[in-house]
Amino acid sequence: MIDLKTVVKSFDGFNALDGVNMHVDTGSVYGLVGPNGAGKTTLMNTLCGIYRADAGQILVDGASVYENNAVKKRIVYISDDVFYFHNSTTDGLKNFYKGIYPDFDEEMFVEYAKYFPSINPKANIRRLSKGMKKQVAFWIAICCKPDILVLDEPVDGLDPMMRHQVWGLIMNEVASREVTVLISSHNLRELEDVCDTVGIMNKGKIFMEASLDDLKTKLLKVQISFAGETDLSTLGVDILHSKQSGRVYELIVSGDRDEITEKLNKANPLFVEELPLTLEEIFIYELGEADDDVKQMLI
Amino acid sequence: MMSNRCLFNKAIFKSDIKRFLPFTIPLLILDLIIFPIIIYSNFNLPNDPLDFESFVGMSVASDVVSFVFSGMFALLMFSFLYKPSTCNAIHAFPIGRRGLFITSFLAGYILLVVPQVIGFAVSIPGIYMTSKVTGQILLLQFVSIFAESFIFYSTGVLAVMLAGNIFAGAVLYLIINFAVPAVEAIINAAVSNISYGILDAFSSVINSVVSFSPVTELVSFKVVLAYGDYDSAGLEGIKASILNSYYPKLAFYFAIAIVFIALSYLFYKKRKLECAGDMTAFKIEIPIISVIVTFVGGALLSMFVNIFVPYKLIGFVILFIAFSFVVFIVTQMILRKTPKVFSVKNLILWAVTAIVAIVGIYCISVYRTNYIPKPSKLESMTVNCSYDITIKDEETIKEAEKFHKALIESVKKKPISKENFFDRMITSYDDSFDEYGVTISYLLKDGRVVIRYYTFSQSEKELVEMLYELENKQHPDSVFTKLKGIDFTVDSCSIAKIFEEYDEKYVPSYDIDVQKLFNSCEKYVDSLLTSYNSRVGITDEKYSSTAFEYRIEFECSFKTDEAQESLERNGMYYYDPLGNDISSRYGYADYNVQSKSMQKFTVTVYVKVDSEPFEMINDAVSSINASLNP
Repeated sequence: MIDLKTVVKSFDGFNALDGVNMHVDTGSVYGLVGPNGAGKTTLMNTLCGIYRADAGQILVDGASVYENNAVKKRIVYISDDVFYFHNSTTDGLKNFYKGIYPDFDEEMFVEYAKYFPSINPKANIRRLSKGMKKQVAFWIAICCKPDILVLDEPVDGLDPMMRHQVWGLIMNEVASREVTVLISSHNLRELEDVCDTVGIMNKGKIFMEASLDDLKTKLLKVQISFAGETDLSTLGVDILHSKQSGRVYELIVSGDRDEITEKLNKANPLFVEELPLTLEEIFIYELGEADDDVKQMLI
Repeated sequence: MMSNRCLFNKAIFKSDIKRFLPFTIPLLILDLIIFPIIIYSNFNLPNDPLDFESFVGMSVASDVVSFVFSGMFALLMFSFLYKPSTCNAIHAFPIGRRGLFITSFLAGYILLVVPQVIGFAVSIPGIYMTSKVTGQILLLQFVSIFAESFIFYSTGVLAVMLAGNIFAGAVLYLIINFAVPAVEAIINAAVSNISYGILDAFSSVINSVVSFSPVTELVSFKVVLAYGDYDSAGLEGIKASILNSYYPKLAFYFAIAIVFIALSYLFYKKRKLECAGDMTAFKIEIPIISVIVTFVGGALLSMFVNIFVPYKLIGFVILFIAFSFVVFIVTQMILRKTPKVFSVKNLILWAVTAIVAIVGIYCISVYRTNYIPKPSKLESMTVNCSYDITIKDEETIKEAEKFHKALIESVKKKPISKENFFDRMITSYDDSFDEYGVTISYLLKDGRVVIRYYTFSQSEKELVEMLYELENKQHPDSVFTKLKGIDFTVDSCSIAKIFEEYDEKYVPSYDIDVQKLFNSCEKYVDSLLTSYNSRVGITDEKYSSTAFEYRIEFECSFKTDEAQESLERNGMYYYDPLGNDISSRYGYADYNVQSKSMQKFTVTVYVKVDSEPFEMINDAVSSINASLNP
C-alpha cells in the first residue's frame, strides 16, 4: 500500500532522509523506531505530503502523495505536537475536520465519547493537559475513518489506562476496516504489542525492516546445561550470543527452530528449555554491528 | 471538493472567518469614528457643511487604517505558515496549496473590506444631509475601500509568503511598501551630505525617480487633494486634474497587486514548509535583505554621526565602512538566527555592498554637483539672491546657466589642500555679509525640479557682476503697482518690523484709501530697488544700521469671485511648485484658509528700506489714519 523508494529529504545540506526505502502493507501496523534525529518525523511529514521529497518516490497504492488531495484524504496524521486552533473546542475542531474529511462519522464521534470521559467537548482545547489533547486528537482522527493513520509518538503523555484504551480503538479499526497504521516511536517496548512490522531507522536510513513474526521464528533463546565441559562451536548452530552461568548456558541462536532443537538435543544436554525473546533482544542481536546509539536506544 | 483543482475550501473559509472575526471589531470601530461619527456630529452645524476637503481628509485617515489592517490580516490569515506544528497539520489535510491560498486570501480580504464598507455605508445618508459632497466623493471612497485595500492586502500577502515568521512578515510588509522611497531618500540625503550645491535631501531632484510605494503614492494623492495648494488652473480644475491622475495610478497599483498575488502563490508553491519559524522563506532573501538593510542602516547611522565630523566625505566613508559592517553582521545574525556569520562569503558580500554604496553615492554626488539641466528641457528657471528672478526667455536662461557654471567652476578653482579638498564639496550657507547666498531653481518640462544653493564671496567680482546683470535684467514690479489694478477693500491692516515684533502697529480699518496708502509706501519700494543695488560693498556696520524690513499685511475683500485669477494675473498669487517659502518674496496674496471664502485674501507686502525706516511707518500710519478720518 505505502511505498517509499529511495526518498531523500535534506535541510541545509543535511540529509534527514538519505535514500529511504520502505514498504507498508494494507491493514498492517508498521512501527518506525529510531533514536532522536533519526529522521522519523521527517519521514512521516514527507509521507503525509507535508514536505516535498528532494528525490525518490512516495506512493500510496501507486499514486504520489504530494499535493494529491485524493490520496491525502485517505490519510490522517496525528503529530507529537497536537494540532488545534487557538480557541477551538473539541466540538469546534470536530466540525472543522468534518468539513475537511468527507468520510467523517458524526455518529461514531458521539458513540466514542464514552471512551474519552474526561474530555468535555465544549471546553477549550488549549486549557487541556497534553494527554487530554492527545485523546481529542485520537477521538477525532478515528472518526475521520482514514485508510491510513500516521501517528508520531502517539501515546506520549497518555496514562497507561488511556494508552490501552487508545490502542484498543486503533486495533479495532485495523481489524474491522483494514486501516494501515504507521507509528513512530523511540520506545521499542511500546510497539512490541501492536506492530506487525518494524523498521529501524537511523541517520536518515531504514537499515532494517522486518515482520515481527518472521523475526521471532528466526531467533531462538534457549537455556541449556551439559554434564561436562562443552565446546559450543561443536553444537552446529549459529550462536549470536552466549552467556554462561556455571554449567548453564543462555544462548541466542539464529536459524530454523526445529533444526536448532534437533541439533541441540543431539548434544545430550542435561536439560534444554526455550525462553521468551523480547523485541529488544531480537533487534539487538539482529543489528549485530549496528551503531551503538541505536542499540542504546533499544535497550 | 477533494479534487486537486479545488480552488476553495468551505471548512477552512468558515474557520478563518470565525476565528479572525474579532479582529475586525477595532477596524469597524475606527471606520465608524472616521466617517459616521464625524459626519453625524455635524448635524449641529447646519451652516458649516462638510466640504470636499474634509471628506478627502477622512479618506486619508481611512487609508492609513486600511494599510495597517491589511498587513495585519495578511499575517493573520497565513499565520499557519509560521508555527511548525500548525503548518504541518494544515498541509497534511487534503487541501492543495492553491485551495488554501485562495480560501485564506478571500477570507482575509472579506474581513478587511466588510467593516470598511459598513463604516462608510452608515455615513452615506449623513453625507447627503450635512454636506455639499456629491457622488464624486462617494465613488472615491468606495473605490478606495475595495481597490486600495486589495492593493495593500496583496503587498501584505507577498510579504507573508517571503517571511518565515510573523515578525519578519511585518518587517517585510514595511520593506515592500517603503523600501524604494526610503532608499531614494537616503541616497539623496547621503549625496546632499557630501555635495556642494545641494542643501538638503529633497532639493536635488524632486519627483524625479520612478518610485514604488503603494501607500505613500496613493495616500499622497488624497493629501494633495485635501490640503494642497492649487495653481492658476483654479481649485476645481486642480481637483479634477488630481482625481483624474489618481485613478490611473490606482489602476497601475491594482495591476501590480494582481502580479503580487500571482507571485505570492508562486512563492507559496515553492515554499519549503520546514522554513516555518525561520526569518525568511527562501535562503536567497538573506543576502538581498542584508544588502538593503546594510545600505539603509549604514547610511543613516553614518549621516547622523557625520554631523559631528568636520571632513564630510572622508568622515562619511569611514563611518559608513564601520556602521555598515555592524549593521550587516547584526542583520545576518538575526536572519540566520545564529552568531556564526563570520564567513568569507559574508565578508565579501559586505565589502561589495560597502564599496558599491560608497562609490555609487560619490559618483551621484559628483554628477549632481556638476549637473545643469539642458535649456531644451527647461520650462523656466529662477535665480534668487535677494529676490526671485524668474527667467523664461532663452537668452537670459543661457546667461543664468553661464552664471551657474561659473559658480561650479569657482568651487573647483579653490586651491586644494588637505583641509579643503573635502570641505569644498560641502554646502555651507554662510549668511555673513561678505558672502552672497544664491539659489538656482530649474523647473523642467516634465515637472521635475532641480534646486542648487551656492555661496560666494563678494570679492569674486566676476560672479558678483554676473549676478547683478541678471538681477538688473528683471527686477520685481512694485507690489503696490500690482495691487492697484485690482478692485478690493481693505478690512484690516497691520505693519510689523521683521524680527522686532514690539514695533508692530496694528490698524483695524474698513475704509482705508488704498491708493493713498500705496502711494505713500511706493516711494520706499522704489528706494528699495535702488538701495538693493547699492548694497554692494557696504560694511556690516553700515548694513545693520541702515537696512530694515517691514511686513504689511492687509486683510482684503475682493468684489469678485475672480479675485484669485486677478491676483494671479498680477503676479500676486501663485502656486509655488517648489514649495518655497513665498514670504521671502516682495509680496504675495494667499487664499484665506480660515474663512474659506474665495473673496477673502490676505495680502502681505514686504518692504526693505535702508534709510529712515520709521518715516515709512509713519507715512503708512498717517495714510491709514487719513483714510479713517477723511
